[in-house]
Amino acid sequence: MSNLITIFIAAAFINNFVFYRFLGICPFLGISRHIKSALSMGAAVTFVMVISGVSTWLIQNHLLDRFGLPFLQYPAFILVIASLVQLIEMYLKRYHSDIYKTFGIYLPLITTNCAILGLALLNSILKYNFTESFVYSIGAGAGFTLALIIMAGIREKLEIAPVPKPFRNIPIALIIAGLLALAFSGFASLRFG
Amino acid sequence: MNKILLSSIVMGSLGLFFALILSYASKKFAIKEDPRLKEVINALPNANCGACGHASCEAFAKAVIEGKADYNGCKVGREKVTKKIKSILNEKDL
Repeated sequence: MSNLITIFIAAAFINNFVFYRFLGICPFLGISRHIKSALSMGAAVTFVMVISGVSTWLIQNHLLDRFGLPFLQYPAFILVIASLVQLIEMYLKRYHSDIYKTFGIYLPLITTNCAILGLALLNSILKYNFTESFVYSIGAGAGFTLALIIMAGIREKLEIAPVPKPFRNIPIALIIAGLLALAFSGFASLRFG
Repeated sequence: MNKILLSSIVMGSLGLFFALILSYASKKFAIKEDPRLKEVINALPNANCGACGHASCEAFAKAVIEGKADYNGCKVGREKVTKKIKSILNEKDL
């Protein structure tokens, strides 16, 4: 159990996908203007991460490894992720069309979000078992959502801040992302056990 | 040869599996759009002039069908369009 908690905290804070591994920067910068949309983006990505983390684990261990086809890892994983994103897109279009409109192009772009493929690959690189990869996926999603919300909170305040003209929007966002990554590196000294 | 066959079977069955899920989902999550909406949009001039007080002709058509706007709101189309919209609304209500 403590092992699982360690995995969760490591994925969410210490090895945060955005601030430590620098994965998933595109939606991190694109959908971090308002907390509400950041929250729903985080939820969508977390959902895809958890389901794809679990199903890619099953595919990796019960299909690819058994038949000796490790080279099919990438196409198989992308197939899973793309299908899941399609599923979410249909769901949002049907039930939450306002969120669907806020996401715009960033919703189908979850398919190419490297954080999700990275998670699927890391699960097999780190040789996690089924429960561990499940927890790791939740942790990674939580970390991604946390990063988005922190960023959105700062950027909402930035809207009214006197930012010098050349730094408006993306440049200042990149600087803040760097500072946040520095702050998150403080978690590296966390020790367990 | 064996490996090629095996990988095509694995990828093919994976693809088929997800295709089945997606096709089921697309039926389940299909948007039940009011068929009158399209008819009303087609009847409108689609100039998006905004004279009716709505952002676009589509928004006006939506408001008409939801009962939020009067069917004679389109100022550009005059009686011709108003009559058309009225007949669309009536025929499906019966």
